[in-house]
Amino acid sequence: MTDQDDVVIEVAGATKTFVQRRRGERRLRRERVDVAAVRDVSFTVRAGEIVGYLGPNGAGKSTTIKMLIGVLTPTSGRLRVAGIDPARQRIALARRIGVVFGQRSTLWYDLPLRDSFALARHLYRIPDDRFQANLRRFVEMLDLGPFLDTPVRQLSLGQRMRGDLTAAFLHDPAIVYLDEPTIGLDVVSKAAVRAFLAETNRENGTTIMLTTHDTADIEQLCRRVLVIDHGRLGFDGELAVLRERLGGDRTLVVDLAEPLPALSVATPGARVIRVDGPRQWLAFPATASAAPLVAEIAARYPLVDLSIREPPIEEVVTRLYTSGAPTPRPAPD
Amino acid sequence: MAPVDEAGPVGVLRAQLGAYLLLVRIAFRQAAQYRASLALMTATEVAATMLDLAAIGIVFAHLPALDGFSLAEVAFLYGTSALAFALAEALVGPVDRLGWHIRDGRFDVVLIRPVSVLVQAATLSFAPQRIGRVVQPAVIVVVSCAALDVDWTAGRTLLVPAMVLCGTVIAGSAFVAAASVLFVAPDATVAVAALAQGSALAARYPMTIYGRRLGLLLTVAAPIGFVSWLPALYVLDRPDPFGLPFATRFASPLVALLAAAVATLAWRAGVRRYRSTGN
Repeated sequence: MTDQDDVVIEVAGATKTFVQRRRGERRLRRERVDVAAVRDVSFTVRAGEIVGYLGPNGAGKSTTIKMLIGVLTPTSGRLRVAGIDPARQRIALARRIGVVFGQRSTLWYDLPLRDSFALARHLYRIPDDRFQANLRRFVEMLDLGPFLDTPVRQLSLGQRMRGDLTAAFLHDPAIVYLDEPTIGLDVVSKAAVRAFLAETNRENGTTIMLTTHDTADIEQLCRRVLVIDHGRLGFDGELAVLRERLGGDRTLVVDLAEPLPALSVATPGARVIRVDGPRQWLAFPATASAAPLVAEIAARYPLVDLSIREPPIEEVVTRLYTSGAPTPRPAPD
Repeated sequence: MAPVDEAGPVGVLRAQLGAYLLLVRIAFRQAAQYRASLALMTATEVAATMLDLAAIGIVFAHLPALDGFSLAEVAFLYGTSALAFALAEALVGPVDRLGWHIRDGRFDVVLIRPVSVLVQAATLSFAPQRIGRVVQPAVIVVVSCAALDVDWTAGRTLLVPAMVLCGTVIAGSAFVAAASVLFVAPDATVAVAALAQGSALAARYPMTIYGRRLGLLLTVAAPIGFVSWLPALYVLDRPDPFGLPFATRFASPLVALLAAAVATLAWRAGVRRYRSTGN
C-alpha cells in the first residue's frame, strides 16, 4: 500500500515540448516545429526507492531528469519533488537534492577535492558536525584519502566520479539523481560507485534515481525500472517483470568432460548457439525453467559444470522499444 | 560561518552577498593555482596601467582643452566614468563568459546549486587581475579633483563618490542586461563584450564631442550620460550644452535604480528562456 506521505517524487502528465526551427520547403524560410521530448509522463517514487530510468539516447531521459532538478520548466503537467515545485522554487529544491552528471563534473576544476567539499559546506549551509561526519564516512567508503588534496583537473575519471558522488551526498539530500554515473569507469570504480549508492540508500534512506546504459548498474541496484522511449513511458515495474514480459533468451553454458559436436537436445525451444572445445552455449526461452534442459543434458552427456546467464537488460530494453508502435522520433536533448 | 537567517528579502540579499564573496575568493584561489600565469597577468596589468597613465598624461599635456573643457575637467570626466566602468567590470564583468558556459553545457551545473544564478555568473571565471584596472582611473580622479578650479562645497564633495557609485550601478546593469542576450544567442559573447567596452569608451569624453544628436542619444537613452557627464556638469559648475533640465544632474541615483530594474528583468527573462528551451 502506498502511503501518500511517502511519495517524494510525483510526476503527473509531464510534457516538455521544444520548438525547433527547420529549413522549410522554400529555402531560407525556416519553419517552427514543436517537438515533444517528453509526453504525458506520470509516475511516483516513494522514499527510499532506487529507480532505474532506462531508454535509448534521445528518448527523453535527460529531459525528464532536468525537469525534476529544476533546470527545465515543463510545458505542461505537474511535478513535485520533496513537496516542492522544481520550476518555481529552484533554490529551495537545490538544498534537498543531489545531482551527479556522469559526463560533467560539478566540482571546481582547479581546486583540490577538499576545497570543493568545503565550498559545498558553505553554499549548502551544512551544519559543521554533519559535514565532518559525512565527509569522514564518504572518504572512507570511497577511499578518497590519497587524492583529497589533488586538484580535480588532475584526477582520473574514476577518482573524479567518486569526488562527484561525495559532493552530491554531503548535504544529506533526500533525493539524488545520477545521469550515467558509471560511464567510462573501470570495473573497480564501477563497483565502488554501486556499493556506495547501495549503502547510502540503505543507511540514510536516500531515494535514488539513475539513468544508465550499464546492465550491471540496473541489476545490482534497481528493483524497479522505468523505461521511456520516444518521450513516452513504456514500462514501470520490477525488473523481473520486465524480463518476463518481454521474454528473450536465457543462456545455459555447459562444460563437458570432452569436446563434442553440438549437442542435440529435445527440450522445446532450446538450441546450441556456440561451441568452443568442451564448452557449449545453449539458448532457451527466458520464461521456461532451466531444470528440464539441465536434466536432459546431465542424463545424456558427460556434464562437468554449468552456469545460466540472464538476457542482458540492454537486450530486453531494445526488445521493448522495437515491440512498440513506431512514433516520430524526438530530437536529442 | 554563522547561520544566516534567510527570512525576508534582506536575509536573502545577505545570503547571496555572502555566497558572492565566497565565490570571488574561490575564483581567486582557482586563478592562483596557475601561479606563473597569475604573476604574468598581474605584471602585464600593472605595466599596461602605467603605460595607460603615461599615455593619458602625454595626450592631456598636449591638449590644453577639448571642446571647451579644460585639461582638469576632461581628466575628471574621464576618470570618474572610467572608474565606474572599471568597478562594474571588477564586480560583474565575468557575466559575459556566460555564453561559453551555456554552449558547453556547464550552465546546468549552475542551476542545480542553491545560489542565485546571477551571483554564480558574475563569479564564473573571475579575473582577479581586473581589479588592477581600478587603480588608473582612481588616480586620475584624485589628481583631477586636486587640479580642478572649483569651489568644493559639501554638495560637490559628496557628489563625487555618489556619482561613481551610481555610475558603477548603471555600468554594471548595462553589462548584465547585455549578457542576458547570451541566453538567446550564446555565441554573441564577443558582440556583448564589444558593446560593454564601447560604452565604457564612449562615456569617457565630454558628450559634446559626439555632436548634439548622438550626444543626447548617448546621454539619455544609453544612458551613459548619467554615469559621469551630467553629475560632472554640476561639480564643474557648467551650463548643460544640450540644455537638459538642471535636475538631470542629480537624476543619476534614479537612473541607476531604473537601470538595475531593467537589468534584473532582462536577466530573469533570460534565465526563464533558458529553462524553457534548454541548450
